Amino acid sequence: MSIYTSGKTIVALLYPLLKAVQVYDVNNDVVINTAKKFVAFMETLFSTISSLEFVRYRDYIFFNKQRLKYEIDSYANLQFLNSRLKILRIKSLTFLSGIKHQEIIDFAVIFKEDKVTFLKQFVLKRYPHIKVEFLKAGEEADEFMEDGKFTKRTYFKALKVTKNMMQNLWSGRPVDVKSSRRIVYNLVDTISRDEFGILALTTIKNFDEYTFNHSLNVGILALALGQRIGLDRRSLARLGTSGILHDIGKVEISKELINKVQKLTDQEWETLKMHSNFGVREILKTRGLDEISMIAITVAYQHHWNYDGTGYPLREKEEEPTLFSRVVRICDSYDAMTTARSYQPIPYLPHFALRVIWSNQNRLFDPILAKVFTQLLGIYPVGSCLELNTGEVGLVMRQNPGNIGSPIVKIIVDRNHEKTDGRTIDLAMEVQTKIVRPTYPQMYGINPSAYFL
Amino acid sequence: MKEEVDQIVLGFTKAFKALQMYGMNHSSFRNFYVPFYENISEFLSKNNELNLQIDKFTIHHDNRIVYKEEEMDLSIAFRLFKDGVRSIGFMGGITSDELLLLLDVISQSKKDYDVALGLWECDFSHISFYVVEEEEVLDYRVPDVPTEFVDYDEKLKQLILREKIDIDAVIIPDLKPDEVKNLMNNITDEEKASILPLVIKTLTDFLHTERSKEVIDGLIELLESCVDTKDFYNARRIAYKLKDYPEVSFIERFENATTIMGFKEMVNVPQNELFNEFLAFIGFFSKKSVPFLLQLLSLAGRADRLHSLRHRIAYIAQDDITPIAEFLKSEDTMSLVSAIAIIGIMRNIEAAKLLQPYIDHPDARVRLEIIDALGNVKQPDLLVQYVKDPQMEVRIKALRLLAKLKFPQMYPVLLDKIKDKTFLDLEFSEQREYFNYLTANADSNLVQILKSMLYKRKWFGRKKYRVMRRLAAIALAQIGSSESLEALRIGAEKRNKDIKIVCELVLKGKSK
Ligand SMILES: [Fe+2]
Ligand SMILES: [Fe+2]
Repeated sequence: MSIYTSGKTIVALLYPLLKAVQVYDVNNDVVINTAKKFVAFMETLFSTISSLEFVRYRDYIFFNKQRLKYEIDSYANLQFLNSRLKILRIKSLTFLSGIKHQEIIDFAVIFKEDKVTFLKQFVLKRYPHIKVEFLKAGEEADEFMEDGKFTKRTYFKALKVTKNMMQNLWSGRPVDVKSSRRIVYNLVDTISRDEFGILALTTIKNFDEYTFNHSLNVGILALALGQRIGLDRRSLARLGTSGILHDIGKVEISKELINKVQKLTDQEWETLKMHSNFGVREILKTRGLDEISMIAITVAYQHHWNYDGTGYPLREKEEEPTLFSRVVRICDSYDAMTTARSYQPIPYLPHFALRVIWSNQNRLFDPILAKVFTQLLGIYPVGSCLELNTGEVGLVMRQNPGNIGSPIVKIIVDRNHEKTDGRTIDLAMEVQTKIVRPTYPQMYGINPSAYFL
Repeated sequence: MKEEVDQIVLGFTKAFKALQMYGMNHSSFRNFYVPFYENISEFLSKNNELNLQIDKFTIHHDNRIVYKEEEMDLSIAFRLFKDGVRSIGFMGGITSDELLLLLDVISQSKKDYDVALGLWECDFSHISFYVVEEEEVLDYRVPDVPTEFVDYDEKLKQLILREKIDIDAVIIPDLKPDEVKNLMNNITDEEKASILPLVIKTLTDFLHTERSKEVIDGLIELLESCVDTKDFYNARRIAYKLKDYPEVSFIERFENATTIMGFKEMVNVPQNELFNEFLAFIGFFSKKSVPFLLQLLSLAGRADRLHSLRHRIAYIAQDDITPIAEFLKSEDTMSLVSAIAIIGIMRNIEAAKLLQPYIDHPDARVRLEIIDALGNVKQPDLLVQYVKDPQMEVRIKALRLLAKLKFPQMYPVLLDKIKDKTFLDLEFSEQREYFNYLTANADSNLVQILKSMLYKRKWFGRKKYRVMRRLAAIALAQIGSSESLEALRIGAEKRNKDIKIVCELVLKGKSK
């Protein structure tokens, strides 16, 4: 069993135990049996590994140095462990060989307490096979402000590659397929290392070159959603490519039409809709027909197919969009809504774009994917500006896994409506600070993406 | 630890060199590879991981150089480094397949090959690596926020109204267990399913709106790969669409000896569905392919397959008999037989003339096929001579066809033969065909003749004559007229046991 699967399994076995001690007495069979099961599994691992270490860092959980991803089947377990470790200010938690079920039950009992009680109890009773390392003062507050250099480098490299690819197609020059293939794998690596970091970068929207940013952003959002539903790396590479290439057919449509400000005539609208068809040809032209491009072709063709059978190009009744097309459908809509374009100079606030997605599940979007997408971005997605009950304005820096209504925000406007480089607050921890409503950052002369660079 | 790592890296180097020299299937490579795999597995079972850092020409472990090779072509380090791989890690549980794949990727010598891409595409579970891209200049500038006045609150209100957003709707995105299950099933289903049918559908749908060279070329490429992999189901779907473009020649590329002989496994493929898909696909072939298909035919092991293929070839040849006639000259009897059969299937008027030289062919298989062919082209007069063929099988077949084709000219000849005492020396199955011919070509006299055969008194050779009674009785039953049936009923009342029994039997069989 790989480290990754081992870690995932341990968390899956620990979760019912932590839940059980909240409900049952410690001598209850349910508690004892779940603890025994947990210990039995650890023992199989101890035959090759001497210690099992969980580290929490930037809301990521690492097991023996491997990051455990928030996947659909491990989401609840991981976010529960994460939130407990966070509340108890635990940086790392290590189980050592020789642990017995009684020790783990005792530990589970204090693990559900508040920080002070936990500390007291942990010192009072000896836990010879459990090691705990706490966060130092101030460590938590700014940990996620560290720059993800790798993440940014990948984003801008990807942007450059996407831009080159589309511009070359536009002008009939040959496309560097190798670098676009490389960049997708780079993005897959990045999404597994720093999901929150790269998601934050999707708030970068460039009005003048929105097609490039949009293509890349859709690719990244699709990768993040794909990772959440547990796709393997190979599938992610395919999905990411499909996301980036979804609107590639637009290179066959005149820039005047794409950038037209006035309402489109019926004829113009029909032409614009042809980009789904044209995408097929453009992908064929640039990438030929390998496995990845075959998938990208179907996604480009289907990415405006709605869940209820409507959408374009027209299709037969029994034809349904593929999973990848449904993923891209959501990510495309979200990014399009939140992006300023010629005919939409003021974009939707991320929160309202999310509500549009939410209220159109079943009609436009796959309802299950719409839910996972909401879990991924939260109610106030990264880049949202929120008026707080303190009179300040906070910018959502990233989500709180498992607490989708209470993100982590940075104060960017003070009580006097002045721009400020304020503190960072975890709204899940500082419960007295409440969200009043989302607001337009432009009102304060702010471009949110500046804070992620 | 140091020695162990050195040992592993040395093993790695040797295996890499051996692979470059001998290739993966050579025993010399195995000799170097196996100890390397054993060493690294043992190391990982103790230490769980091994991380190596890659520099331009060197590999490092724990800040110590463990490998150095400055010759670009030979250097493992350089091969990895040039494509941005900066570290590589091995984890406990590594399989031999993974290690072989890794060696394979690193040893690729194609000029444009990207090792990092190769590694990514391997999708290892126990080998990790870290790749860097060239440093990019961050030329991104955060755009200025527009300064003109916009009533954002008003905009927001409009948006909420337009999209009918319920700003208070509760959002709980938790998935129910069955939703999780559905999604998981959906993912595994799509991972398993082939993308090919969907791409074919998409490309053909594209062509509904516009004729595009790229898309047609794409379909042809897919067609080639389908034919390559013997996926005739999808090949047929593509060919069906491409037929809409008569100016596009997409089938010619397959109409050569090499490709068609490459289909030989299809001829005897156990699954009928696969065979039928193949058969349907070659329906798109032109006459040009006939000679090669005829060669393929000789490999058919099953009679039903032979039959279907002959019909298909006849269909492909359309009215043109020439390529098949060519095969009449074949030395090989089976090819000759097939050619005759196909000519018969084609029902070409020229056929009789073409077949003439083979009518007296010494091989009975050929003569049998000729009979079928002559039957198909309705040339009963040419069948007459086969009634005297030395082979019973041939005689029977000829008689049967003469009966079927209604050729009354033979009636007196055959009747004479029946009346001749040598007739009793024939086997029953052949004798029956004589009588079948008579009933099929019956004239008003026949019932009388049969009646007298049935009622004939015999003092000598009674036993031997029983068969004649039986044949006559059966023939009367077959005629089935009131007169003939009456004759049987009267027979059943006769005191002569021979007559009585046979009539009763035949009437009984008839009533059944
Ligand atoms: Fe689109
Ligand atoms: Fe789009």
